[in-house]
Amino acid sequence: MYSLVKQKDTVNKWMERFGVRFGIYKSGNFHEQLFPFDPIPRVISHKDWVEIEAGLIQRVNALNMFLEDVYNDKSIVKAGIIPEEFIYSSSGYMAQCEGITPSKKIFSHISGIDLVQAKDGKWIVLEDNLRIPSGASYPMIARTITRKVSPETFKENAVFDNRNYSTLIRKAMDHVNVDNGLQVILTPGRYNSAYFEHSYLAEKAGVILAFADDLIVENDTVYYKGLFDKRERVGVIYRRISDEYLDPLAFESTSLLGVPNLMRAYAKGNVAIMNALGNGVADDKGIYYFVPKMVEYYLGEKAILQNAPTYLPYFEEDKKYVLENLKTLVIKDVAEAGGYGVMFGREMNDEQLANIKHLIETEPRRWIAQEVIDFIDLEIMEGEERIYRKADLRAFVISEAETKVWHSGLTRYTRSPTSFIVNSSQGGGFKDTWIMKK
Amino acid sequence: MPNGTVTVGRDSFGNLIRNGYIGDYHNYFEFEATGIVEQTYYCIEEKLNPLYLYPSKYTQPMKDIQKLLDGVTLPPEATTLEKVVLLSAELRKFLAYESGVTSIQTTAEEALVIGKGVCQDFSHILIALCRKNGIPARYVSGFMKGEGFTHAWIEYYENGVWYGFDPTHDRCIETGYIKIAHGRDYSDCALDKGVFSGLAQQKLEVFLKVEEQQQ
Repeated sequence: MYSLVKQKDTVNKWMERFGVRFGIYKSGNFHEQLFPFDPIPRVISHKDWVEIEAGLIQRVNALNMFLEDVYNDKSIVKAGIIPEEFIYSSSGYMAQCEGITPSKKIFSHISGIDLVQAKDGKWIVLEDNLRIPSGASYPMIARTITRKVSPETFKENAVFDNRNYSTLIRKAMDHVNVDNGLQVILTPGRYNSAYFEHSYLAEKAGVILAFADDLIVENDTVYYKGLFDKRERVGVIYRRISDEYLDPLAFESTSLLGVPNLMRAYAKGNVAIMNALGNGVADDKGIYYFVPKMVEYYLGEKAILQNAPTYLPYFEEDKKYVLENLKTLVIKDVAEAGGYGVMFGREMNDEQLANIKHLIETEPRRWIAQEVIDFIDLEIMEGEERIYRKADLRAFVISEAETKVWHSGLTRYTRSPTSFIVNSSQGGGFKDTWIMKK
Repeated sequence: MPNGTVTVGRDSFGNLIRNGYIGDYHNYFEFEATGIVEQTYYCIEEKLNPLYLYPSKYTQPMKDIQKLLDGVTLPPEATTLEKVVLLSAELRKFLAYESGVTSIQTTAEEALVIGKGVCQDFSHILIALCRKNGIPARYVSGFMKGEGFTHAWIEYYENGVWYGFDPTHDRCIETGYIKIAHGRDYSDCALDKGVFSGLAQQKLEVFLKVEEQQQ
């Protein structure tokens, strides 16, 4: 591994050449920036992994069952486990999806589950991402490069290969493909923060990278037009465009990124869309609180992976606790993502605290509060020096005939020594994630 | 004008949707929908979908709606209709009818801040007020007798039945209104929408006429 650490700059140069970037919008302008790679991998022992893997499979299975239930019988609401308000007032709930059962009953084909390891060694789920979780391409290409620049490292260490991610995606697409049609990845285009990933995955999975203009819906069937305006039936779309922009006739009518009438083709079962529309209702920060309860309700099992201790001000008892302990908690706006809308009580002055108290009292449903998890620091290289920074892990779970966990993950670390927020949109870097075979 | 295809379906709110598509180049297109409606007393028996109890995109109750609500006390013994009437009366103190001030994208809260609006704004605000008081309410698009514009009103729910109420005219609806679509708010039941691709200016003309048929 020492040889790999020495090659840090080479790896980063290669990644720059391959165009490994992500775009961000800052004050209305689009910037592309490199995603800094740190050569010291996060290593997860085989023993730890066995438990994480079982926990993730269980969690994602329950979430898929929840999604099917929410858009059909709503038995979990009738059973009194989740208050109906949490469904209907969730910004991710889409009434338009009521009664639609996607191909093979899979809603979340690719789930990105964000975990951290607490100082006592326990892994804790911080967030579920069931809409368009991104980031798998970074460790994939990092591994490809590190194997080249330091092959001995991988001879000496029994690490699971992670370059099969595209094969997993392809299998998931083939599994739900309707009438053996074309497989496409639908991208909003190069101004999307994850455009590198869209094009890379399309190439590696051997599927078509399509823009909205390439697809057309006729008689509730989706066709790919291609360069020469020929029409080929599309059976599965791995879309990288969010729900509300996917079909200007069904949702946001000003969207230029979407495909008119795609929703109708989908509702009729003529095309599979992954991930399904309406998944946002299950990865809502408010619904997160209920996920361990879902595992018990749908699977009759105890959840293997724990949530961070979470409080919902919606419940009187929790509200009282939150208001009394604001200073030690982290407060999150359920409608925000990407590290936005996260506030640490200990960093707020009296005025800000009074302000957030008022908001919690007037709009309790909008907030969740969590205990701050003291998660472990990982070593990173800063110049020649080794320093420690906070890091999380996004694990990718693929649901097809069975549910599988990719033997790797995206480890993101914060670059600022005082920050706990690792999102790449907030300026962090990433590491490879090694899952040991033994 | 090239010929297009038309398909018919229903959306998840139960509305009938006719969907047209023209794949060839064209400079204009038109469609026409006609029908004869037999009027009955306005009441719709239906199982309640709890969806209509919670705020939606255009009816989020923010500061100003909350302030308006704080100023009304509904007598606990009042019937649902009486409550709706009271809320509508209260709303009229803060919103005056004036066209051209708000657009189809104005939310209930925004319209209330402006203090002026059209049938869509009256309906959105009344829906927000009803839902905040636990009364299920939904948005309706449709027509009234005469020529010109489409109209919007609300339905509120009581004991298994949806009843119509027109906040713009501050009255209960019995007959004389032709309902076309309903939903949580305007965004669920626009009467026509469409997209085209290509670099072109567009000009949209809508003609509407409702008249009584001679027996």
